[in-house]
Amino acid sequence: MDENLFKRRLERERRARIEAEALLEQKSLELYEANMTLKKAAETLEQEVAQRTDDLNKAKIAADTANNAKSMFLANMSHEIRTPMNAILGMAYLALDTELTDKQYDYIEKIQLSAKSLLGIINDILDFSKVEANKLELESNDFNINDLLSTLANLASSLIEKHNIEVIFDIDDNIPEYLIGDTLRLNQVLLNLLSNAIKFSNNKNVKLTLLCVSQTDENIQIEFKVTDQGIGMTEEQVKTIFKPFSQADISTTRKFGGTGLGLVISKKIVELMGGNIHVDSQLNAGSCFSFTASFGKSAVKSNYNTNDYKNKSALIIEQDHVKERHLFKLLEKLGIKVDSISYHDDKLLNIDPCQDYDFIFLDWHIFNDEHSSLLNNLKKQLTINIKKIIILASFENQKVKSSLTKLDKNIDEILLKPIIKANLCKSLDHVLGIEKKKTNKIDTSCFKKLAGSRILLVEDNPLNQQIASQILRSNGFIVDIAEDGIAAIEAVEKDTFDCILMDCQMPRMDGYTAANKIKEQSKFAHIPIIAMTANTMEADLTKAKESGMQGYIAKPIEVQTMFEVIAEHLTQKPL
Amino acid sequence: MKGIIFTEFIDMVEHEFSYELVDKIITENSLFTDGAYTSVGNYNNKELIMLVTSLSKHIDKPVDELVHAYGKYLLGRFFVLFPHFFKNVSNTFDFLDTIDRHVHIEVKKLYSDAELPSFWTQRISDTQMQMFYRSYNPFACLAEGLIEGACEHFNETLTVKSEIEPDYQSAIFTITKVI
Repeated sequence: MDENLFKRRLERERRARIEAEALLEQKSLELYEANMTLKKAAETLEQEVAQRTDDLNKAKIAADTANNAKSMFLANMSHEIRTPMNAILGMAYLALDTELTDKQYDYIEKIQLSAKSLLGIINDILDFSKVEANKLELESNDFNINDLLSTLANLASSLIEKHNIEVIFDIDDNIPEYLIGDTLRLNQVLLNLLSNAIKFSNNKNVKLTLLCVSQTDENIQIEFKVTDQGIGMTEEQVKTIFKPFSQADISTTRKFGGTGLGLVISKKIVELMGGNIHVDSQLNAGSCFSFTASFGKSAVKSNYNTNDYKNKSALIIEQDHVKERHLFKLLEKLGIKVDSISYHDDKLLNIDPCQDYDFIFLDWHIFNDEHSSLLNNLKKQLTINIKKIIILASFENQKVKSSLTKLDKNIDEILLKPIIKANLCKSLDHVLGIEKKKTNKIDTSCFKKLAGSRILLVEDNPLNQQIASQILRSNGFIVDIAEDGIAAIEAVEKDTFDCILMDCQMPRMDGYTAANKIKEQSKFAHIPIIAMTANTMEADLTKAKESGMQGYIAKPIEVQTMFEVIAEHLTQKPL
Repeated sequence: MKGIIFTEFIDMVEHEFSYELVDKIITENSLFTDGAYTSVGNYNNKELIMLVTSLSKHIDKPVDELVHAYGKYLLGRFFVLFPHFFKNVSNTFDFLDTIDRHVHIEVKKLYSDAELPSFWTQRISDTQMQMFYRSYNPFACLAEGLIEGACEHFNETLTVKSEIEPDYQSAIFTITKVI
């Protein structure tokens, strides 16, 4: 074969190889450069990330510092605001107890009401700031659901006095009486929902329903539902109501008042209880707020005995437009045979149907129907059966009382709506003359027994000294005053006291230190020390507990609460 | 035009005919590259046309037929050289779909300067597809050969209707499965 041919072929191969190598070289270089560029970019990126992380850290520290400052500010403001509020409320309370003209009484009562509503707003704002700072914590205590409901019923009846409506409590019988949870917070949520429902009820009835969703040996899930048939909301409004500082309608701010924080706080509380607030609403048809929360089951068992009501019978005398279906059902569940009759019914005229019954229920409004010819006859029969009568009313005021005087004899038994089982049983027991054993609830009558107890009031603010000591003295307590911690220790050394009321923030020596020092000495360890503080943030209360104080009274002082706390601690030891 | 088209062509002529014939068609043309090709280079397409034309003269076969045959040959080589491109391809239609939608995209990533023909495909039905060939080079017959090569590779019976423009730079191929 031609040698030259191969030489040429070899030459071509060689040229191709050189070209390929050059291309390879070039590609390698390109790759290297690309690599370098990438590396540089990565480095810059790392630097940038480090820089940004640093910036973020700085911003976070700044934000945390600002947030802490805000919390501190709030705690301080809370104290600063509550102190003068204490003076306003306390002074108003004292002033109302003096000789006043009607006009003066009216003015001061209005000052007191406004101060209370201002305090409500302040509490809302403080709660909201706790929500924002994730500082809202729930307590977990045994509580009696009937106590909670009766408190709510009382508050609800005071709210509906202006509106001519009824509030109905429909409670599932499967819910045990004693539960474990945060009764104060639950009360706060329910009261918020109820007062909203009543506020926007448009003069139609409001209903609170408690339903047992499920229960095990340890836990129970309860669905709470507040339903009204009031003004309702549009879809747009529903979307905004759980946002802070928003209300369904800006114009409602003027018509209905409020901070617009209630629902935000309620939502958070419900979430802490393991539930979620849900709302169904239709404009001009009403709203329904519902949530499910879980509670522990308490070891404390109900001491209800419904055997007393077996074989008893009740008559409900109904008004034409108000059917007492709820009462009817409740009585039936207690094993009582129930009949109802319209008060226009002729039977009431001819015979005395009341005689055969053990209980007679009727609404106080019936006595105001001057046009009824039946009324006189009815009155006569009722007078005969006066001991059996239980009057139904949504509130207990002068109007109710004066209508009841239209009977010749006094009626003692008034059952307030919303009717709950516990209250109903109490009324039934009274009529039957059964005295149930007192529970360990504070009875106001025991305050009298406490009269003569010697109390050391440790308080630096002269205004507060005056208010607290005057309230205490007017209820029969003997009061000594110390103006700071050091004076308190000196006083304890010198005299014997049954109880110490201790302000927390004072000059020279604060309340925490003083309490600590007093408790250190075994001879004083038995004296109950109660903190009186305008600082109601969680941390402050813990601090009070840690320094040996047994209880606390929040400022501004609620007179009733103050006596209850004092009574609780004084009755724990033999007087 | 990618160097691989040149190196594969030279290899084919060496393999099917002889080293002498390759030497002849290279030396009788005054080529810019003197016939030294590497698969990773880029070369003027006119050189391939000159080589094919010379080959046609020597073996006395029309250029079209030669280019077509080269297309068929090239198809087989693709499966040997780049098996990873065709891992999931099991029939002619899928193969033709893959060229524009997958292979050419990958080639462009490695050789951003490569000038690639377009093989746009459209399925008419389950048994019929059309391929629209467009190129700066007049190698429609090469595309035709590729299609036919694919049929043979997948052992399918298909009819190909070719509508090739006079400049050989664009063509429509209608491919129908024979059942």
